[in-house]
This record gives sequence, structure tokens and C-alpha cells, in this order.
Amino acid sequence: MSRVLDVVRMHLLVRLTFVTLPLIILGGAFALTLAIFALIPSDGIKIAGAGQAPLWYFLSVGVMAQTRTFPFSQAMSTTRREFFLGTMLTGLLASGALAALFVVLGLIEKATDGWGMNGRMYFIDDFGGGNVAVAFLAYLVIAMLAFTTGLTFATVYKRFKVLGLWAAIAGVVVALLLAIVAITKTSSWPAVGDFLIDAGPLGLAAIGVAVIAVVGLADYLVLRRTQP
Amino acid sequence: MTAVIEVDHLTKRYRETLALDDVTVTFAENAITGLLGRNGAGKTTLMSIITAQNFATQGTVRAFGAEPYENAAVLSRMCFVRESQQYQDESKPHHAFAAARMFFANWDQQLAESLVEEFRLPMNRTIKKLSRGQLSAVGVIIGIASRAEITFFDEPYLGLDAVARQVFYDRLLADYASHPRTIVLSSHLIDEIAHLIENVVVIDDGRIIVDTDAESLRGEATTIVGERSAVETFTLGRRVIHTDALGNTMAATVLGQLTEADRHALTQAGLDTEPVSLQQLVVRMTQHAHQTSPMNGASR
Repeated sequence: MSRVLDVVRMHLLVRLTFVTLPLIILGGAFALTLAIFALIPSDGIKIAGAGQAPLWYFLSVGVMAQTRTFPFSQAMSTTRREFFLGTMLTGLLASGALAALFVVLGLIEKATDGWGMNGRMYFIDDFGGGNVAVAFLAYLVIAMLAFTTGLTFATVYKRFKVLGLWAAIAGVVVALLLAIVAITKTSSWPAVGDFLIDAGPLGLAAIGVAVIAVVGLADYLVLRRTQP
Repeated sequence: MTAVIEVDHLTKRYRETLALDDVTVTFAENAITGLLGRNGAGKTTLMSIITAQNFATQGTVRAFGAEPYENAAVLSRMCFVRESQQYQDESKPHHAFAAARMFFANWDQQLAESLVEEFRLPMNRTIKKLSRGQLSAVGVIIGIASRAEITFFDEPYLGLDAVARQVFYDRLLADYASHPRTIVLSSHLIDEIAHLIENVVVIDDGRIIVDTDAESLRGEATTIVGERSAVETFTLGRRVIHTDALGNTMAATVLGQLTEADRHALTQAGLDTEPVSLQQLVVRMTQHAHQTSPMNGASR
């Protein structure tokens, strides 16, 4: 276990990937969105999606965690299992920190009536249904899902090169398309909609966790035979 | 000799090439072994499979009596820094050493610091901005200061100047003397490391062609110099691995220890002998590996 924690410490030795770049993205997206809010000459609700950028940016945090640190971890004689567990734990810690920041910013946004400009970028009530803990969980799951996805595709690339990467992407796209076709053919869209609404924020988070588990397992299975 | 690494019928096949061809070899505990061979002979592949960074097509590897793959108990006692080692982006040497300090239980920080000084390694420059020699120094320092029970050095001297290489050899030998451990040193600068190594494993085209102790290898070949016909007469029926001729003078390198009778015959024929350096011997043998039969375990 201590070697898994050492992998976490190794990831955080150079703060660029997990700390500096996400904070720059967060700060940049925040400042840019505020500027845009200020430029819109309306008193209505102003909605901006750019505030979510740091969440999606965790896709590339996952990519960098693999490409930049896995070869070095092999020189440090870690097992692939230790690297995987330590990397997922690092992603979880960073996702948690980002989610906490989002909650704080979301609460400020709410308290200041949208930064005094009726703007919305953190959508804390939409994510949490009025519950701060649920909003935190939602942010956490989205960041972690992005992280795990980036990590897995980077591992696929490392092991199977470009062709393998595109095969994996094509596989995911085809699977999604098939699902859409199947739902449409069986006219199940209302049922799917009801299911998602019934699931509620907590149910959606649970689905997210399940997807993270599946994608993470895939990463581990590919990593087991990956060379540095 | 106690074997700390046992490689058994190891084969590694890449799509079209056979990198390792049924390799069976052991590495002695607490000794320095030179793993010699030309570029592409299979040295790095062998070391990376032993450290579970790469995978065998067939065959097995055991270190400390167990399979290294996904085995933290074994891997944590080994250190293998590749010649082309990648470090974390934007990391500086002190980051790499901080990581090594976490993962290698025997890490000696003072030793690392004194090596940094001796190699004049700039600690506040990112690793990707280091020169080739400075990059090699980072790997060398991790390899020495980690004091892992088994340490592999893969062509550790690339880009190091003569002074820095000497620093590496001296410091490695001194630290090995005070902290005996198993060291495998892959190299093609054979003469430079000849005085360091106790055992010699020569790999050529994925096959082990020499596996013996350095001492017995030293007398294993002799160059006979003299008048052509006399040389030809003497070398008749012997295993000649190289000849040079200039006019009526000929030099022939023959394998096998010379007997008293041989020396007497040489004196009678007016022929001189010259010692063959380890490097010459390895060069000649890897040039002629396909003609001469292997000499595995000679006088072991």
C-alpha cells in the first residue's frame, strides 16, 4: 500500500499536470466567462458553459498521467498494479479538489446573484438539486470520468499505437450508435428519459461511478501488458 | 557462484526479428557482470525482460528465486535505468532523485549529492534541457545511489566525456566494494570496463556466445605474430578467429590456452605472441559467431 501512495507522491512531484495546469484552466475560464458576462448588455440570466472547462480538461490530465509518468514509474521498479492504483487515487484526489473548488465557486455564484451580473457558469443547483453534497459528487464523478477515459485511451495508444487508439475510439462510437439505433427502433426514448429523470442526480452519479469502474478496469487490463 | 538471476530458454520475437533466441544464462550474486555485444544484439531486451518492463515470447526469468512480473517484492530490489529513459515532463533532476528516494529502500542521499557535484549536474534545469551526457549522469546517479540489490546499467555512458566516464567507473567500483551487490553493466566500450567486470556474458544476434569469468577469458585467445608460413604451420588445426597479413608477416588470433609445448614450439619457430584484449576478443568472436562454436561455461 505504501508503494501505491508513493506513486501518488510521484505524480505530484512535478505539480504541472495535476495542479498548475488545471488551476490555469480554471482561472482562465472563470476570467473569460466573467468578461463575457460583463459584455452582454442584458439583465436576463446569462448562461456560459466555459466554466465547465476544467472538468473536461481532466481528460488530458488522464492522458498526461499515463504518457508522462508511466515510463518513469517503470524505472522506479513499481508494478503495473501499483502504478494503476496510485494513478487512479491521484486522479480521485485531484477530482475531489476540483469538485470542492467548484462547490465553493458555485456557492459564491449563488450568493452574489451570478457575480452581480445574473450569470451562471457553475450551475450548482442544476448539478445538486439544491444539495451541496450531491453537487460535489456530480462534479467529482464528471472529472473522474474524464480522467479515467483519458488515462485509458492513452494506455491503449501506448500499447497498441495509433491503429489501436482509432480502433478503440471507433469501437466506442459504434457501440454508442448501436445503442441509439436500438433505442430509436424500439421507440424507447421516452422510457430512457423517464429512467434518467427517475434516477435523479444520485442515480446518475451511480451510473457514472459504474462507467468509471468499467473504463478503469479496461485501463488496468491493457496496462498489464504495456511496455514503457 | 550463487545465481541471483536465472534466465531459462528465453525467446523474444518481434514481428519479423528474433531479438532473443533461446537464451539460457545466469547472473552471479554480488558480482559485476559485463553484458557485452553489438548494438541490436539483444542486451536491452534481455535486461528489460528480467526487470519485467518487457515480455518474453517464450521462456522464464527468475530473480531472487521468483518471477519478477508484477512482483513488488522482487522488483523493489532491482533497478534498471534505460539508456533512453524517459522522465516526467518538466521534471528536474531533483524530482527524479526524490522519486528514487521513495522507491528504493537503500537510497543514499549523501552519495547522490556527492555524485551530482562530481558530475557537475545542473539541478535546476529541466531534464529535457540537459545535454546527452548530463542525461546519462541522471541515470548513473539513480543507478549507483539506489543501491538496489540488482542494478542494471544499460550503456550508461552515452555522451559522458572521458573524465565523467572515469568518475562513473571509480565511484561504481568504490561503492560496490563497500556495498557488494549484483551489477550488470551493458557496454560496447569493452576495454574501458574490462578491469571492472568479474564475469563476461557476450550476446550476439540474440544468442549467448560467451558466458564465463573474465579471468579465464583473458588467456582464452592469443595473437601469434611472425613469418607467414611459420604462423600458418603453427595455427594449423587450431581455431583461428582472425588473421591480418602484411607482406610476409602474419598475425593470427587463435582460441584456446597455450600449453608449455605450444610456447616451446613458438620459440623454436621464432614466433612472437601478443595478448588479446577483452575488446579484441569480443569483436573477433562476434564477427565470427556464426563460424565458431560457442564457448559457454568455459572453465567455470
